[in-house]
Amino acid sequence: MAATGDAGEAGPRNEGAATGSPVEDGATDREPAPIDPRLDRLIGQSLEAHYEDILSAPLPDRFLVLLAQLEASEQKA
Amino acid sequence: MSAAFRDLLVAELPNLRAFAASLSGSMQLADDLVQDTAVKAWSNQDKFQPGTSIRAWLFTILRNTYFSLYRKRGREVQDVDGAYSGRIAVIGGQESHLDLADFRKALASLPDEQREALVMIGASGLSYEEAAEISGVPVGTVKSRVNRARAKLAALLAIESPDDFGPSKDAAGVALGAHVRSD
Repeated sequence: MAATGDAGEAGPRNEGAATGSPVEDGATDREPAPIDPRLDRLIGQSLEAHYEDILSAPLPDRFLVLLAQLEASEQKA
Repeated sequence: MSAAFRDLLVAELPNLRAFAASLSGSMQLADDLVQDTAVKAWSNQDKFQPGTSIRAWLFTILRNTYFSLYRKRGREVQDVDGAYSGRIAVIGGQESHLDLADFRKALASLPDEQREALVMIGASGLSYEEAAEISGVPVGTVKSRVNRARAKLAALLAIESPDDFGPSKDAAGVALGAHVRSD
């Protein structure tokens, strides 16, 4: 996994976050160093592209089948 | 009530799938997770308060299901490369973004709580207040998680120093060591 690889943890914070340590939740410790604005924008756009890719995918039939089953079982009840 | 509720639920399914895939790192787990969520939502539909955000309500069910049942499963499977097989296609309407496979690998390596916060705020269209309520933490914690997630992604996807960034997107792509798509 890349989380603990040589690319990471350039900033002052090294919290062992890959294991989800409790420190992760501390709202009081320092914020990470600022990110290059271009990289930050690229990350934001990549996140949206990732999400949009799934949003625009066709819905698998299993969900419409499921909802029909749920409705049918309710009508019987 | 149930026909109207059904329509509300169906309308949210794509968003639930995208959120579930972001959390679990796998389309297959995501669809199982969405199915569980839909069944729970259906049998608890009397608890949904009309006029409130159904998206926030459904996200709460989904993330609680993920954290109680799926987190371990996801770790075992963790097949990020093949997770969204065959859909690394070019997306229209975006200025420029990283290759989705590269980005998803980095996203999957974030701690769960950070990934959850980042996706809710950066992609799902939820407010900080909604995200805080969904996750059951203060707004400040959501903000902190989002900032850390972005910083960690930047560290994973970027290079040693910002000086390595060239003036153009192409140069940034080279410096990132990842493919930038301009489409």
